[in-house]
Amino acid sequence: MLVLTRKENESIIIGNSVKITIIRCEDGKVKLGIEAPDDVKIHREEVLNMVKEENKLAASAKNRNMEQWKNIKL
Amino acid sequence: MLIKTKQFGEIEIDMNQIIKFPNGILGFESLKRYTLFTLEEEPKIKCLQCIDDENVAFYTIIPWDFFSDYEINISDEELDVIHANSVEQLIILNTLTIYDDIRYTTSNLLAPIVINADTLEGVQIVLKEDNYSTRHYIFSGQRGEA
Repeated sequence: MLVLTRKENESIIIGNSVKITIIRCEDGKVKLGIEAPDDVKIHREEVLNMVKEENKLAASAKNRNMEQWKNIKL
Repeated sequence: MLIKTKQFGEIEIDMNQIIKFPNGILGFESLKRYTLFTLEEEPKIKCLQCIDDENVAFYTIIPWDFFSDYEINISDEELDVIHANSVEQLIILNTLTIYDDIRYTTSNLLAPIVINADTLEGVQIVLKEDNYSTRHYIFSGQRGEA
């Protein structure tokens, strides 16, 4: 992993089109400004992990009792 | 070809019913081939059954059957994964998480599955985090985010 030290208002450039600026750094939190083309997806890592966990839960579910479905107004 | 399913025994499918997910599905990245069929008991629910691992199957819905104002934004990059160039080609599905009491069934509106019906390729996309979560109740009475 590349480790860089930056100060507030300094930036790093990734590739030709992504720029990340340190907006503010205080109380153990870093506020980042990210400039990237629309087609570059940016997600908090924990959101992707949440989707993975939900997928695993969804895939593990048994079809329970299909009779139950008929009793519910969809 | 004959494939094993998680809950419906063996079923016969044609080669043109195999949907390839080049990137897999999040959390199941190594599994690339699925097939899709509608449940006889409940036509609004479709089963996305993995061909490479019979134990992996997702119950899914077409979101607008349950959430009429659902909106998604798909990037060109994501459309490229499934070689799509028109919305008419697309089938949008959202997975269900089913609990013992099915009244509490939720759907993952944050990460829809997008299939190109022409090329039979699929991708799961993650929307911007502001509008949707991974758990929305699908039944009236429990509507809203779980």
